[in-house]
Amino acid sequence: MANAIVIEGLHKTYRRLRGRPTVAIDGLSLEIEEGGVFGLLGPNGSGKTTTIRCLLGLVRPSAGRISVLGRPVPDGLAETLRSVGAVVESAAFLPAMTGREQIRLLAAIDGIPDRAADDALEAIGLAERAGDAVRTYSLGMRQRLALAAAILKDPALLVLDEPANGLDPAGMRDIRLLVRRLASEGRTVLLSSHLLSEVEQTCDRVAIVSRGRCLTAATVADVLAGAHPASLVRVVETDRDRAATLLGGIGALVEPAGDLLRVRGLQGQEIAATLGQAGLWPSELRPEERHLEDLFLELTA
Amino acid sequence: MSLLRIEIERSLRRRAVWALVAIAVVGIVIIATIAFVDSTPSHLASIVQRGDAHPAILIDWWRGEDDSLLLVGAVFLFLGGVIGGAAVVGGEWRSGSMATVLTWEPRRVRLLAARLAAIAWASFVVATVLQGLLLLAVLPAVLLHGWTTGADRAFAISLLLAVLRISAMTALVTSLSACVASVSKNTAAAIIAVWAWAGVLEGILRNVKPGISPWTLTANVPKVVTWSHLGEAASGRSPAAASVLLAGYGAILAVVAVLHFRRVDAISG
Repeated sequence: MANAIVIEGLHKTYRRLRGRPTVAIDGLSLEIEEGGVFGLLGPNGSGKTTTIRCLLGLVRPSAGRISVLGRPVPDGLAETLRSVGAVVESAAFLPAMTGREQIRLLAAIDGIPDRAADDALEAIGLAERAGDAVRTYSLGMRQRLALAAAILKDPALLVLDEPANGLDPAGMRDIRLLVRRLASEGRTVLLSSHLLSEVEQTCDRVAIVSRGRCLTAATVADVLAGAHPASLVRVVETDRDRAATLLGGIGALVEPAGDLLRVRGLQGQEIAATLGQAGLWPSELRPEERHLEDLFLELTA
Repeated sequence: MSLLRIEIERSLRRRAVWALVAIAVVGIVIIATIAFVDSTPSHLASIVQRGDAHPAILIDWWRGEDDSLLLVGAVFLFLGGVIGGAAVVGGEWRSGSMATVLTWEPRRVRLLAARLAAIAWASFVVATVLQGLLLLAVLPAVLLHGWTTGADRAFAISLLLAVLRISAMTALVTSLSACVASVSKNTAAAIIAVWAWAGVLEGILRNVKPGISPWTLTANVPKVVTWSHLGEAASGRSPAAASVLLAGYGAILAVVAVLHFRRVDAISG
């Protein structure tokens, strides 16, 4: 499958008049295949937004190469961006103009007719307030307006930086459904977010970035599977210390997890056999269910 | 052409622009009211005797001198132009909408060139309309209290040309301010920089090095507006040459702004 986005050795350092230079991206490399939803996860200041700005030509990388939809950035941007819809960080519009005016003006740049702009507002659920000045919009409505602008080009690639920012739960669900629908139509969606549960529910693949570097990138299932699987074991309370000592003695990493013991480094049958031979029969033994959030916190700690 | 039209529309839909226009309209109403109330026959006679100008006397609308009605208006148009030009471009950076627009039109040279051309065109039109409103507003004072003596065809042409020159200089000042705002990415910084240059630095430079005076904005803009050959011997420059010089300054600053915009990171200033 072809790659929608290829990033190789990306570096970005912000130099300021005062203070030390800030390294925002430190050698990030990433390949994003065409189709599906790709999640870019990372804590604040990890370089997600700067990476997206580099992809869209808003920020000039200090070093590295970027290719979007087969064309180099920034040289091929004029052609590339005709097929890219984007929401960059906070959705920014001129406050005195109405939502409809802003979308129509943006559409006019690419020669998109007013009717398509109105359809995009309708699709995003903003048609009723489209005639109001943007300054009267809530943060969530501004996000919707930005999304309307992003889908207006009928893009092959959507780049969404924190698209659920400021949305209520219903709005977040709408965005999730919209993103999934767009991906099901064969588009590629790159989505950065700090809402891990949303990413887990929405994305097919994910990359976790921290301090400007990519820590891991794979399908959500593979990332979770490869993340030091743990087992949870329940034994009677009085045997808990002894069980921990026994399992620790054969190389497992054991820590308390509420009423249970979390055991890493051993398979379930090894745990059962070790405890059984010592007469400590576990009443519960199951693999721990990992969520992206746990892994995210673990990797970025 | 489409991008130019879009940029004109974006510029003219800015609140700051319409706030400035509203202030100008209020000022015009006040001037017209004062001109009407203050134009009793005896008062006008004493003004003429002293050789002073009054808006109720038609030929005083444009005499090419300091107390001409249009020259007074020009000062306020230039001030408004500095603020408006800086606000239109600086506001795009402040609101963050610059990044949004760049995801639609990444050809930065084309975008900024269209934006500067739009700002120049819009400020020319707005300045012309405001001057027309000013003249219309004081017309009742002329027709009911004052007189039109001496206002022949030659005067009408000189009046029209003066309006167009003032509009052109307003467009230039507005564009210069917009260029500075594009580089500084900040409205207030641009207004202060333009004011500091024209209001303070050029004055200091003239005192320290008098030979630089013919090259300053504050010497050449009035020369173009009045189209006066007075002082030509001292400066060695005709009004036409001053126009070319000012156009050159505008072009240089536009090129600097475009080159800066090509490389700058599109994050708010």
